[in-house]
Amino acid sequence: MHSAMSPGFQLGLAGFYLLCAGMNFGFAHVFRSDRIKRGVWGAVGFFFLLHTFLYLTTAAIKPDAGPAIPHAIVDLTNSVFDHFWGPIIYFVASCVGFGLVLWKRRFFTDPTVAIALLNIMLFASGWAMTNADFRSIITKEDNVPIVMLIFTVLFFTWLGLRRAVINDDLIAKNQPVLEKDDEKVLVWPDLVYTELICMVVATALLVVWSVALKAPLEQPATSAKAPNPSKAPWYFLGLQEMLVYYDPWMAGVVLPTFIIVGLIAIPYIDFNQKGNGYYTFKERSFAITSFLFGFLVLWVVLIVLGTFLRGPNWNFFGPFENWDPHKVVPLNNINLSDIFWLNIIGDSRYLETGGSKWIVRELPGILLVLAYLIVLPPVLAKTIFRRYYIKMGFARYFMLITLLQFMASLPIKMVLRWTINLKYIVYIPELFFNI
Amino acid sequence: MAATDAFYRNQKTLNIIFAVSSIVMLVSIVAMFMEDYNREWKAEQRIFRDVEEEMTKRAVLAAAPSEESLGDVIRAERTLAEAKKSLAEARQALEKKYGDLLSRKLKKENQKATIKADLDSITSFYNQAAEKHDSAAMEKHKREVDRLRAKFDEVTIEFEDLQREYDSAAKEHQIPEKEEEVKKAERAHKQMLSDFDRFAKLASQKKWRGWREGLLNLPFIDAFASPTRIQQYTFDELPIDYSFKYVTRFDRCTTCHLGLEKLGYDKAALRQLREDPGQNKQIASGFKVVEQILKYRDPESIEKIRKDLERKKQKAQSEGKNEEAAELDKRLSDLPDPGSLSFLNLNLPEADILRPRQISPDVLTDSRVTQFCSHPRQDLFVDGNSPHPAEKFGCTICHSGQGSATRFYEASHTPNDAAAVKRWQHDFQWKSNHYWDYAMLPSRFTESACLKCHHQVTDLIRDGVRNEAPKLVQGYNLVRDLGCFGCHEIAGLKSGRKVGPDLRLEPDPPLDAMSPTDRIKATGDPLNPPGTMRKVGPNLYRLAEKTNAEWVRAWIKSPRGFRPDTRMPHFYMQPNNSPENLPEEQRKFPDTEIHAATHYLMEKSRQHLAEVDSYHTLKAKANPSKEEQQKLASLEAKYEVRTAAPSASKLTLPEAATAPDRGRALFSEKGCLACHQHDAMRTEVRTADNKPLPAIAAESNFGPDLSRLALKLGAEFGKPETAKKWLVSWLLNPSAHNPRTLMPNVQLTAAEANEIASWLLAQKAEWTPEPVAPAEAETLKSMAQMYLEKLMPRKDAKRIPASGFTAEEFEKLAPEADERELGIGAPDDSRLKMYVGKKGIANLGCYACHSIPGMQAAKPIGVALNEWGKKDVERIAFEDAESFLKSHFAVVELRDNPKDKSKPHEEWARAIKAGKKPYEQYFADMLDHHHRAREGFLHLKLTEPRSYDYNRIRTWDERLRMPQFKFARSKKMKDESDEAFAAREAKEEAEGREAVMTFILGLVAESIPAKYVYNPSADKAAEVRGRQVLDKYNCAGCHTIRPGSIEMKLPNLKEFDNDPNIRKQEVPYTGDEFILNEHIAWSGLSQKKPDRWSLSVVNPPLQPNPEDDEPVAGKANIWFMEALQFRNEGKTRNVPAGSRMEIDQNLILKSYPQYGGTFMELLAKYLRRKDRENYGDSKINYAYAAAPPTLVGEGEKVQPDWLYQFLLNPYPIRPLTVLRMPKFNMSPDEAMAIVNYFNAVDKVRNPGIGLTYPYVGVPQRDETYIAAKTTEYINRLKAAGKYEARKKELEPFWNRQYQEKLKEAEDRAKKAAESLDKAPETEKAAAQQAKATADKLLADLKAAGVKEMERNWEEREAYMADASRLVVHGNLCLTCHQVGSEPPKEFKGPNLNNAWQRMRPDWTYRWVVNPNRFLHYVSVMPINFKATGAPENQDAFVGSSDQQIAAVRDFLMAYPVIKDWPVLRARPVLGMGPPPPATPAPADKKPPKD
Repeated sequence: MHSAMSPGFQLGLAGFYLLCAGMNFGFAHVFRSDRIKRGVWGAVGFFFLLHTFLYLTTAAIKPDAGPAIPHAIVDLTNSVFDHFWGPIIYFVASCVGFGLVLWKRRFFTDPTVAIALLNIMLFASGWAMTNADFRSIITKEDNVPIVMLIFTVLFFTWLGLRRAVINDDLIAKNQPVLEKDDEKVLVWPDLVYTELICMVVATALLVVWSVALKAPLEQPATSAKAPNPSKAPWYFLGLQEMLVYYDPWMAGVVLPTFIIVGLIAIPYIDFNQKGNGYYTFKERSFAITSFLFGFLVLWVVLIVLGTFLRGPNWNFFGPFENWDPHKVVPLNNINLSDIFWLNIIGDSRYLETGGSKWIVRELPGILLVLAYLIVLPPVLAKTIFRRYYIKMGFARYFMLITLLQFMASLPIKMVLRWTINLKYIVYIPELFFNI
Repeated sequence: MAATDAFYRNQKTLNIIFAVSSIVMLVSIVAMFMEDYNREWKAEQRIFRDVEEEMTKRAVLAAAPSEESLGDVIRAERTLAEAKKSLAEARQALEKKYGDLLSRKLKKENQKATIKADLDSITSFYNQAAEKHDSAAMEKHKREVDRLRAKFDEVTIEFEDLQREYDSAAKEHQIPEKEEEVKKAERAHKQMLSDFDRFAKLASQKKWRGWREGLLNLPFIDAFASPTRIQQYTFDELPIDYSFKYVTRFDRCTTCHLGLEKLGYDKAALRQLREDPGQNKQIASGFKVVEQILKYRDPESIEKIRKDLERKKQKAQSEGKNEEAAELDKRLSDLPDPGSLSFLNLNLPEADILRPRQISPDVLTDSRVTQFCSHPRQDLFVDGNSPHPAEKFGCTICHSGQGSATRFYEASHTPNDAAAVKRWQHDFQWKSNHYWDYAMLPSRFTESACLKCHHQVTDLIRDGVRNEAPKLVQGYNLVRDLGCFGCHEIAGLKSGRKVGPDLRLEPDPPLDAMSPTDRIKATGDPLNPPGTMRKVGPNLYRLAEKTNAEWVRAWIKSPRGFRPDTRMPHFYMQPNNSPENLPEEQRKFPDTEIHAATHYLMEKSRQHLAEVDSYHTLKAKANPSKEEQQKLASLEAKYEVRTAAPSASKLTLPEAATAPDRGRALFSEKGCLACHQHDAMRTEVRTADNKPLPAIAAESNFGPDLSRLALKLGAEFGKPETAKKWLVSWLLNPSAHNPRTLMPNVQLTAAEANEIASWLLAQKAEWTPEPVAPAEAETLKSMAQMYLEKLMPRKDAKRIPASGFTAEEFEKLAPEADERELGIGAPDDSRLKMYVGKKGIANLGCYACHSIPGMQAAKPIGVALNEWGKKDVERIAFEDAESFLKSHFAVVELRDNPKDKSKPHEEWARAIKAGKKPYEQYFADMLDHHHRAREGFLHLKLTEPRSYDYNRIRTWDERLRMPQFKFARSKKMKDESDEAFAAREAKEEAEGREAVMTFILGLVAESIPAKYVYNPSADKAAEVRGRQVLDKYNCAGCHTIRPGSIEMKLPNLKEFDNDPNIRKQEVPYTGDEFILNEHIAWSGLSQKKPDRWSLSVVNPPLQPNPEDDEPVAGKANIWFMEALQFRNEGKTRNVPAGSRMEIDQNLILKSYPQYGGTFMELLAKYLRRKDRENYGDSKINYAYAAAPPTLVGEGEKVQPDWLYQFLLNPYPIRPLTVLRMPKFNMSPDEAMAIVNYFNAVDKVRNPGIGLTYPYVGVPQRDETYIAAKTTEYINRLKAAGKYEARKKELEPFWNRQYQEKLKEAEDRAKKAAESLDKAPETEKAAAQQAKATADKLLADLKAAGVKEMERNWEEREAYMADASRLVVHGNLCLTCHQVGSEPPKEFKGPNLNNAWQRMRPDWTYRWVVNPNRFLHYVSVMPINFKATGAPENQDAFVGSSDQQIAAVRDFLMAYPVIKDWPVLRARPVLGMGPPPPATPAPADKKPPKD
């Protein structure tokens, strides 16, 4: 292990904890009327302050050592994320967390809970930073925006949900919602002055950022040596993660097209008149859930995955794991045709390649896909989405369901991959067509 | 809700937020500018300005006149002022006397100039008109021109009159003399002050704290027109290869390395800036003088000083202190006259500006000293006159790193050791820059970069001995010696372009064995020439007759266990294959494989020997049958068979030795020790008759150490005598045993070979063979199965080792398949061994170094190294490296002792003492998984090649297979403790490894534009190529090829020049030889550097260790091999070659050992001890003469044709030598390369002699030359009054000759007449013709008479006849040399009958002048012809000494043309009878001793 702890880093950590302490003292101040809260946040602030002193001391007396995250935790985390279970745990946990937050939104949007979670996150990151592997990934200049993204996305989600919960209560009591305010405001100073301030702050932020973190330029590109891992720009890392499960034509062309088409189509599909201009969850639970699932779970979570957890050879690495390019992860994926003809029927004659033999070979897959796309919507219209179908009419319903099906295709394929090692549902190399 | 007047947000809050955010923005922008202002290089440049200023100040102060000489300056100044004054007065006087003469003259001069200008102008108009054919204008201008010319003439006459008048007036007033005086005074004055003035001017320019620069350098403002700026070199033609594009190279290194090109910015000078300038005497006194000068600028202060001095003087006088008064008086006179002195107006800035300041060591840190200093090798790099000027080459092409970067980190600086890593991390937050593929080379690997352009490597050795890249050359030699290229391709060619050194194995069969047509075909493609390297190990075709299986097994298992310094690497007992590290089922594999491989080698070797013998038998057969003929032809096709000698068992040994030590004496004297060593030779022994056989401490590693030879040889283990026949047969002709051996045929007689062999085999040595467990059938089978599994279904693979192939299966095998060794049916142990052995040999690549039967077409097994130096780290498999390192080595911070790099670090030594293998942290860090680097991989790979997979699960044949080499051959020194030796040995091993790394890291296959690649001149190329051949055959083992060289500081020239010892010690000093100024032995070349001498000397003394604090006192002896030319007080002096000199050891700056000659010295020493009578004391030179001759100057000495023939087929020349030139196993091309080497070297080294090669003209054999010389000689005879006498002497001879001839002619005429009578009709005509001819001959002879002979002598023969008299005269040449058939008194020198084809004429002349100029010992040959005094031997040859030398030379050169002239036998004066006709017989004599 090379020196993870330099005096400079320890001073930085001390500063970080000082900020955390300050924040908690701020909370204590804000909640000064509530004795318990004041006491708790004050105590937490003090706890962070202790860390500050701890690192100030060790920076002085043990410049190259200092307290670091215990090996047991590192090892435990690494073994939890070990090998190919990593993405499953990560994705499933994200989905569960997402469901839990929406379901228990009242609990999670409580400021005390939110602040506690924030404090836990900061505390955990502070200690995690003492691990060299974790830090080297998290502090890479081009990964810094993703760290900011995590906090900002969480904050705004919390903010929306918090207000939605309050509004839902108000609506239930037939009281006006928080945003209920028809008053018009003045261009100057209410609009332009604020914008000016935003411009100034943004400029200052950008200048400070660019001074503090140098442009992450790497060596000249060469055709002989691709960087490992080869990563797309951060905003495409979700797409790149899809490539693990789908062929490029699907992950790179069809699915993104559907994302764009879907976003365009929202106003035409969305027939719900409620929830305009104010936050609500109850009145738009389906719309919010499906959008947030698409945006948070299938987009942001995958970006974070691609940024921090995907290492050389696009292998999954736990947060404390060294990015060793020699790590080999078994890839024993098989095609649906193999599963069907070999494992179920036990007849390899239909597995031949060449010419148009794929028609028979891939028949099960093709039928399955067709069933998914053609049979499923009417079935759903008759069952779960009955109410929607009646309200929306055929065209709008069909559009919605197709979009949802394509959105669902990613988690479906993920689950199939994890459970039965499925490589392709339809595999036609003769036509370069794989699903 | 309707709009209200209330604002949505609180204005006060917004205002506060706005204010705060504005301040934040301001601060951020300030931070941005500060960030720019504080860019690393800007800070460095600001510091450098201070350094530069201080350096300039020091230069001014150093150039300031000394306090003592200030008076001289003032006096010079005063003289100048007086001269000027006197001139002015003279001019005034002239003016006074002649009134306005001067002004009239000047006025006239002006008038003249005006008219001339008009005239020129009008003339040009005229010319223009003429060009346009404008006759009218022409006429007009012509008129004007004529008018002006007339006027001009008139004025000129007037002016000239005035001028004359003025000149005489000036002369009268002595004006020209006075003008001359002023000039002289000015010159004298300027000489004293010019440097001072120049530096002072510079100092005022370099002044830094001006307000303008200060302003421009402020933060913010410095963003616009900063005095600090990025410096860069741009190289369009030396681009960086970004693999898909070539991008212009920008080197901005000088942005921070600011003193790089500056003179005098060496580290010592920079370090001095950190010291208190007041403490430095020179600086302090310089500054005092400057202050003095500045004081003198003020007349008042001068007056003050004067008054003060006068007061003191009066006081002293009154007190009677006369001496003090005189002193004060002098000081008074040294005072300048107020206001009158010009040097006060020098460009001298204020004293305050020149006041030297100390720069804090915190600012000018050691790192900055390194950063600011100039390049340490300006003679090679950076300087405009060096071979690599910075403007052309830049920095990064050699040093690598990112040239365009201006930050320490981004430039990819690389620390050189762990201490530097630590320091840099602390000082510069250094980390390795992964974003630049070509990190700067650490200084330990800097030489790698030389390989990019110097593909021949040996071209880095200048003047034959000055090795400018010792580490790289060492690495190259190690790679060559150890045969790395056998497994790893090192091609040096990339898509037909030369990109690196070419070390490839030669084709099999080698070019020499091909038919001429095939050879041309093989060499036909210039883009893919055949390799040239021979396999480095011995040929194993005849293993079975040389040694036995027991020995071979022990050897394979542990070669160094048998011979500690062998080149053969270790394959077994390695981390990944020693039994304790192997899984259970593989534990027996290593020993079994050794058994199998040995069995294979022995078996194949026996088959080969049988083939060879049957070939020889068949060939000897008179009438072979048809089948026999076919068999013969098929054997003939195999070159290994065709070129081989019959097996040694067929040899009949000569008589056994009588004296047991005779073999030892022969072994010592016949040159064996030039390549080999033998422990028995380290001690002296006595022969039976109690004569000493001295020790001869040879350390040569070219051939194997023979100490344990007896243990190795013999078809039966432990019975060396069974190998005697083989050894004798090998000694007699090694290349018949191994066609590619480097061992030459040393031309021993069978008896001698027998003696040597007997002695060698009788030498006992201790050795415990490494035990090799016997091969069990089961293990063999499981190994066979493992190999077979790769080829066939598992079931078959399991079956075949037990039950074998069926005939059907066997048929299907490929003809060259290894499996054929298993044969049909159940294989016995032998067949299993053959198969497993062959597989093992193929797997380990033994054939890379050894020729092995059945493996001719095998491909190298290693990875190609052509581009390894830039191999991507991510493509290197580090595997277990890190953990292996941790568990097997003691990581120590440093290897070298920082105080004395030649010694190991204490920590290093301590680790060894503790029984651990030390590993330098620098390389250990590079295996750390965060900092992996190719250097780290390579270092461990060369240390423990098998360490990477020692813990991996692998099948036996998939394990790493690179063997473990040893790079250093350390020998324990006397008085060295075991521990100290172990530490040194490990350090030397590490250094050898690093040398190999340096070479391999240099293999980057960068295709550098042709104009940058080293492109030697034809001569230099010949030298480079020749050197490689010389090294290949170890010619330098015996011969001195180039003298050593030293660089030394100049001694005190005055003392040196007057040192009588120099000429006294000249060897032998006669004072009367001819000085040949065109030759480097007499007249040195001018020295290239003004501050040092570079000398060619014999065995140069070592330089004192510069790291030592104590200066080495003591003297060093020097023997010049070339003349030293130096200038002292305007005179040029030469110290000729052969002189000896004693110099202070401290003066030596650098010392380069001579190339070759070790054995020559050893043998001379040996002979002196062995035989004092013939070689002792005063006859030391005979010992040298008995040793192999020096080859310094061989090119100018011998004729190329002869040398070429001699190299290919040597014969004995020198009777004094105790050994013979061996016959080497070299190709004609190589012989030619050697010839060209010597010629090219002497042509370049000795430009004055105008050497030509490959052809040499020898005019002495031309008739015209002889005739001209004869005419000249006859005149000389006449002038000397000896003409008549000589004629008289010869008359009897002529008469006798005439009579003989006449008789002959008469007989012939008679015979012709008789045959005409007898002739039949048909032949009458022919007989008639014959008779007519005979009659005419007779008539002519009679008509000419004796006079004809006389005329012939006068026109053609006289010169050579007398030259021949001189040669045989008294005790001259014939004392030692044979001339004609005349035997010498004592055979000492070579037979001169061959001189005409062997020697170059010019050299022969110079040699006779003084042989000692060419040797490093006193020649056995005396100086026979003295330059001074009356010429001797006039009775033999009339002429001065140099004419006599020339005559001897001419005679020797013309020998084949004139040797049959009868006149040469007419030597009555010398009292010699006519000798029988001479015929040159090259090898007809034996040295007197044999």
